[in-house]
Amino acid sequence: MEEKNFKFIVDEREVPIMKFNGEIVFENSNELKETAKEKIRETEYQNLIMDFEDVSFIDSSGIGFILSLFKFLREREGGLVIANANEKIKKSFNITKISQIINIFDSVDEAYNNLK
Amino acid sequence: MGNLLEESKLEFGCKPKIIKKFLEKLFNILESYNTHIENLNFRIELASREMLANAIEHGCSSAPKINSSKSNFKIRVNVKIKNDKIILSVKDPGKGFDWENCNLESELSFAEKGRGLKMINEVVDRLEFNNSGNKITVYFYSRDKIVEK
Repeated sequence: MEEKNFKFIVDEREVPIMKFNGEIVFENSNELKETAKEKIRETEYQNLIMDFEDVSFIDSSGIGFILSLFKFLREREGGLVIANANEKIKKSFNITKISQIINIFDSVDEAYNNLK
Repeated sequence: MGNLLEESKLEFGCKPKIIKKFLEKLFNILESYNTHIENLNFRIELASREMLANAIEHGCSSAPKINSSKSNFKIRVNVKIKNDKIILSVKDPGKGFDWENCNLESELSFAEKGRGLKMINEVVDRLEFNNSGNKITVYFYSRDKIVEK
């Protein structure tokens, strides 16, 4: 599951990146939520970059998944940001107004700079 | 009213994998037409996904289990291409819901659930329910005549 749907990457900048691929939708979002949370639980990181470069579509379940991780990290007094969302995903963020809660950046580097 | 160009009546079981199957069929149908509907692919994919997810998650789980196992429940999908609009309806086997008292306006929320209908409402031109609330119909209006390629 994990290897198929996301990679957990930590480099010298010490902010982990979850790089997802495919769709984040009704069919897979619950399982994805559990495996993603499990992965974060194994660490003490407070912040996370969700890299959507290889994500093609997101529905309301996917939005719920993002908010679930957002609240999970907020309990650790951290936060999450999103990088590389395509236009369709940005539309869904705007429709649901979650772009008013979570910062969206055009690249992982920009996201890093925001979390510094 | 618009002239009917094509109608597809489809039936699916209550499994999440039907969503992908339906989208393939839908886009296959749409490929044959020149529509004049802005952002149609994104809007119709999102609406379809949310309508079918609701049917599976709420409709199938609330269906009366009289002499019937869950595997016999069916979701009925109807796609109509008219020369001035596309109409999509999804009917689930459930008891429906109180749609008249449902807030369809998008609002800022940290809740993990409850966005499906609001998202549908944002991307369609018109949305309606049958009386009991187990059938949803959405409309996408074309600014010019839809014609076969």
